[in-house]
Amino acid sequence: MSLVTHTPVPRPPRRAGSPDRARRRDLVGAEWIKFWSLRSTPVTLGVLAVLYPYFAWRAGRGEYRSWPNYTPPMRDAFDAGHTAFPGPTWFLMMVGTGTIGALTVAGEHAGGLIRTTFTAVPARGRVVLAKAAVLTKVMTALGLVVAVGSYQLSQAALGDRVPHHAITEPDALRAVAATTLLLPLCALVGMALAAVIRATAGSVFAVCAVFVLLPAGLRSTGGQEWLDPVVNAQPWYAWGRLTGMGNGHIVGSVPSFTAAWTAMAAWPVAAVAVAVVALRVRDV
Amino acid sequence: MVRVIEVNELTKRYGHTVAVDALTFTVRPGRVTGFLGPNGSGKSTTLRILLGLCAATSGTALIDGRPFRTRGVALRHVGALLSADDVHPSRTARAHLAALARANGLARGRVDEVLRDVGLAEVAKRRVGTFSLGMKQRLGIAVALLGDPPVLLFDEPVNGLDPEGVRWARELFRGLAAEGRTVFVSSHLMSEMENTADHLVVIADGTLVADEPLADFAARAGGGLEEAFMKLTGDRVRYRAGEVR
Repeated sequence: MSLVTHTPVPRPPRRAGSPDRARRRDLVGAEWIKFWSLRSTPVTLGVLAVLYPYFAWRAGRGEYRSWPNYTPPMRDAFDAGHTAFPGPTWFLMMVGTGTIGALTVAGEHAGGLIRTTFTAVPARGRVVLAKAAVLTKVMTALGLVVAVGSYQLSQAALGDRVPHHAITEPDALRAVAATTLLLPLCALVGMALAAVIRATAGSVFAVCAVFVLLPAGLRSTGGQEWLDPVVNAQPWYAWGRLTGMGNGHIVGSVPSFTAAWTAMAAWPVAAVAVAVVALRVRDV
Repeated sequence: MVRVIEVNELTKRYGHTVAVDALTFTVRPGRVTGFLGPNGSGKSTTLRILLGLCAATSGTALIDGRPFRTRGVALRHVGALLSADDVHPSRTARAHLAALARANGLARGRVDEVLRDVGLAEVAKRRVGTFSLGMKQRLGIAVALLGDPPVLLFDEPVNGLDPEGVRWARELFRGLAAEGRTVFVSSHLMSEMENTADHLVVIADGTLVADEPLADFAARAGGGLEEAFMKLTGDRVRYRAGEVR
């Protein structure tokens, strides 16, 4: 064996802090770079930001045109919230944001990037938390833009025929807040599904299944009252309850506002927990 | 131990398959250690366990006396290239490196330095999916060098490199070792190892065949490295052409 003098290896300058600790600010910064450096991401977010306010405007315009033909009970049942946020069109938003969330993890598994990531940062749980932080930031911002934009445009489209509700009214604020929070909820659930499933196609299918097939399937079991809390805890139903501003007669079981808010809070928390555990315990 | 890779009684089972079987060896600083073995002999599994990507069934794998996953960030301590495909094809080379540098709190200027060092400065803004295998290997080497670490692991780093690239990689590894770093390079290319490594760890079927200076190993068959390798691993090859097992 040869004798070698060990010259000290020069180290690149580090900005600050202990050399070994994964710092939250750095990890979030890294995930921020990764999130925006995929071309499809800003395009998708831009499309959603324009599409939904347009849907809202169109729905408002529809009410404006139909208003003269409405009977008094129909006019009484008018719902400014569900006009601004037409439920069925929002399945696409949920699947779209859920898919973006899923791709932040499935994209790491598709090649083998996850191995590069975890070789650079062995603290896996902190990587997942950083991903969750970036998704929460971006999606909450998008949610706010879409929620406020949709509400205001739908109000504007109602013209002078239909009674208006200012966005500052408590019911309107609740609808806007719930809509803002729906987007990060969906993205984080998508991330968790991908952390468990890994494969891109499987993760996107799971997003569709959880957000669309599951609530539809559960509702079609109608009559089984013990299932109501489960049905009402589905994001689409909880959000639908919180965006409702009408005073029409409600058919069937609906959650209380408290129950709906609880569901909206529980989904993202559970999703992050699942993602952290799934990525920490498994071989990659 | 500083800059030392210690693998001790390491075993990894996948169901009934034993990928690594009670493997023990040590990799020391200041020289290039080649990691040789037939396809499927457990080289990559061993490297993945060393890097905390897979959990060992039993035994230990330590770098600097610590299991890898006890570190928060690692690029300043251990640099690794496992596979050229461990990237996102839609990201540019610079974005890929910038994210890794940021996560480890490395100065941003380091990204351009390593891109220059590996010869990718001109394609830094191209998406990695458009890269050839050789270019992706260079990017993987850039990742390993990013934190200027004292310990470096490379899994088949010269696959896909052109002759100039192979020579460059060889000189890079020898230079890193001459600076006192620990350099552990897996390969199945005997001629390449003959020119690069000072010391060899040879495995077959997940067990240790040899852990000795390259010259001693090559002398075992009286001829070159390839003869010694065939002689010692020949009956323990998992995948062989033209044969039903």
